[in-house]
Amino acid sequence: MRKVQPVTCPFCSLLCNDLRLIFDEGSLAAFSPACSLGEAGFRLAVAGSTYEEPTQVVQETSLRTARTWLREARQPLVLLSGIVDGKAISAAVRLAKRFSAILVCDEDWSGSLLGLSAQKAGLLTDTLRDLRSQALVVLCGVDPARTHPRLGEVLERDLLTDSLRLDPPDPMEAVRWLRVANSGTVECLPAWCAAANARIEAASSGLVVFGLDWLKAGSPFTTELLLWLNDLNREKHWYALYLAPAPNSAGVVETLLSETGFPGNLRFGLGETDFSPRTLRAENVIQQGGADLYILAGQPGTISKKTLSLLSQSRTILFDAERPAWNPPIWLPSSRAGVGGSGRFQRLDGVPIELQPVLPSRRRSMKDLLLELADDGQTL
Amino acid sequence: MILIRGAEVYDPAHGINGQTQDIWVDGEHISAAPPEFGTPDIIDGSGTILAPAGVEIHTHVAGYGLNAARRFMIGDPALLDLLAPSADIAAQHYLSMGYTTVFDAASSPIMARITSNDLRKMTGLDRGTFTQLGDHRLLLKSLEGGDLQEVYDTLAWLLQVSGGYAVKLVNPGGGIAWKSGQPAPGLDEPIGLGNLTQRRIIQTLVQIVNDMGLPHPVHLHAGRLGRPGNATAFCETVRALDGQRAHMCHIQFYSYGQDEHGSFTSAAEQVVQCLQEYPQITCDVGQVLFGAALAISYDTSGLSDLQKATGKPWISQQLEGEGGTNVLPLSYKARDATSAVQWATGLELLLRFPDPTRLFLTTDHPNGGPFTAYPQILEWLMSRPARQETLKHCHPAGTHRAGLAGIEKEFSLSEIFTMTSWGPAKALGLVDRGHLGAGALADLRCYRKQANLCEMFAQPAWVMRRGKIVVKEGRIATLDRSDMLVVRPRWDEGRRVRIQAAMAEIVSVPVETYALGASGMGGAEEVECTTKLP
Repeated sequence: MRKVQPVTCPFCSLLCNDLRLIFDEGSLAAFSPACSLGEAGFRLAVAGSTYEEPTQVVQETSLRTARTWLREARQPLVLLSGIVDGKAISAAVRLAKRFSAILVCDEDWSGSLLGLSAQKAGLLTDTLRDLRSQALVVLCGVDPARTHPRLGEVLERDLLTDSLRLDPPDPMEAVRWLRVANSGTVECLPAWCAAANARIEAASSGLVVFGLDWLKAGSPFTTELLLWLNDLNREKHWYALYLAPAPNSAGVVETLLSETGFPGNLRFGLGETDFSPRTLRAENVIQQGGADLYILAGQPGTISKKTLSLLSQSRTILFDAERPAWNPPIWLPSSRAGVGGSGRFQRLDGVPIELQPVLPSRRRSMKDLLLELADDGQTL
Repeated sequence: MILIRGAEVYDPAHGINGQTQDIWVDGEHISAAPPEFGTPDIIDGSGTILAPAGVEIHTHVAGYGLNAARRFMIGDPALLDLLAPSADIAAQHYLSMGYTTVFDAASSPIMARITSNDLRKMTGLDRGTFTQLGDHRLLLKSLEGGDLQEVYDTLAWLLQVSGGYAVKLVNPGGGIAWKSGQPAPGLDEPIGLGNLTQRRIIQTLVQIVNDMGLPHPVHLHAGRLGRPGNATAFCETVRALDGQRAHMCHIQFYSYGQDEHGSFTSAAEQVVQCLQEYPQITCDVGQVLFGAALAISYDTSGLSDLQKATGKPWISQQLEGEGGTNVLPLSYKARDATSAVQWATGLELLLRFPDPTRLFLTTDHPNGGPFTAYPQILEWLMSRPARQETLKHCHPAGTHRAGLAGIEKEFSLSEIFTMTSWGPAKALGLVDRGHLGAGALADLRCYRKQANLCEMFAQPAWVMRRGKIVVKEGRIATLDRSDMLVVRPRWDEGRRVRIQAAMAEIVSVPVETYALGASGMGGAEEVECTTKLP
């Protein structure tokens, strides 16, 4: 029997809502319209839904251990990844406040601070639908066809001209050249820069898309990038789009800002909230042994292998829908928003999207699990 | 029963102006003196001033713009608390100043969930939001099409799905023009959607909202915000309303003349004269304070120009099917000529305007400065020496290019409470508050009389909400259940499918979940509309 299930896809930050899962005799037969990332995600989820779930006893034992660790912890750290939904984030904040924990966002050094500081420098983001009206799209070290396939498709198909791809080996040097070229003060430019600048200058409007890889170059680079983008925006309409790596990167930061006034890097004390973006970075705290219990809400995407190794040797509890490739002492499987559970993600342009379960799941939501820990077994 | 005995009572709605008299509270309401009252709880009001609680008609304390603003203040908790506190903290600040009803000034439908989440956190206050529709493509397309019934139904649907209390129009059509690279349109210039002009948008929507019988009329943020010489354009907009009921917000930002060098001057007198001709129009002032501020607005073309003028970084988030929401940090300096003129212009407007039931105190928080500075503004209004003292420290333009220095008027307490309670309550159609008549909500504020007016207004002796003391000596005593205020105008629900189909062509979010979708505004108190279908 054939069944068509409309879905909102939770596997990248486009959160497309025009997709359909087509089941034939209970197995996933097709995914329409085509999107490699969404299809792979749902196929994995469908396959995973037939796996043997951890038994109730194992779950209860894990939760009991987690409660004990939490009670014994002198300095817990809660790390939120970009796949955590809005309600789970609120629960994590509650838990962090209750146990005077450090609260860090996996995107803290990219999506929240540096990425969003692109807007802070005077740049604009635009909606995806309006993207088609841009005269030029400049892709800076990103490949939407791989990370956000439907966006890649729009760029391939609907733009008036081909998008301009910038993939230099040294982004810092590239951006400095572009700034110089834009100022018009230097005639002798590298050939690639002269060609790129000619297209940028000729365009009546445009969008610069950049992602995590360019931001990894650090603060001085980001400043250069922002200054260049600001220059572009002086005479014409140029928008900037930070292509967040995780589907709810924007939502995690927005919810934290709304709940706490900060995008992460917080230490809750008795009535005091300490914000320290440099000191309270997840990687720093973990590597320096600054906490004695690590609660990971979602598989962290930007943590190094070395740090993961440290986590696997420490008191670490991971809440995630997928079994991790590394070995945390406790993995508490939770339903994934938009697959086995409901939730709220925020799209790239800030629009909040409600996600509904599309596959049956006996797992509890991350929100419920976190609240149970926060309330230490009391009735929710 | 509670009996408040011996206080100097101010109830401008009933002509009570500082007389000592008893006030009775029965449950959540004010009551007349009962013939037999057993043993009521008595609150000794001697040495105090008793008035209806404050009603805030225009502030920005919820929604997407606030989050964007917080990014500018990361690392400065004190500034954050002043200009963009989290919604629950903002609510507590308002309560501790004696305000029990607060309206967030603008929320776009597509971001309504964020606003709704923030409003839910504001426990202890009655609160609501105005739905910004000035650049809404579906609404403006139906308006351009000319079918008024369709415009009516679309507007009603948008209000309903957004959980709005009133319709906000921010520089209508300006966002659409800006998105297509056009300069901000004047009142009679096409906005880029057929022949639609700002004048037609304003006139038609104001008329429809009044036909709907919404408790609050269109809350209008006009074009040409913050530009020298904009008073003439503002008065033209007021005249374009053709005598219809409307609320013009933060009018200080539209009350500027221009000298021969193109510099700002106060045009408060011209604006006051114009507004006096239209008694059905209410306004709030948008007073500027010296210090840090934040421009938070859906007026993209206005803020884009300001950003270019200041050269400061900003955040401009463009929204699907609507205009954009924008944030730009500002600073008003006493020694700066423009800031001094802006500060003087706001006070001049308040002091020149003869009717405090029509012009209300706001700072357009945080655009003009923080709402927590209201006590300071009240002191300036009540004390000429206090404002002269401040004027001494201002750039001379504050004296020479504005009329404030020559104004001797000092506000009475009755005028203060009219401007902050009864006036805005009436303009919002909330006739159950802002006064002390029998049956009114027992929302009260009580001040200990003292010479230092600023200190007096900053810390009420107590604040009562629904008959319970919620603030005592500046500290929150309890945060009780409170209402979100929404309107539900009657409309032809048979058109829902058609409207949703048209909406689906404009946005990429599922139309069933557009705005609040099915999540609604839990716990919302619906305010009656005197609806008459067109």
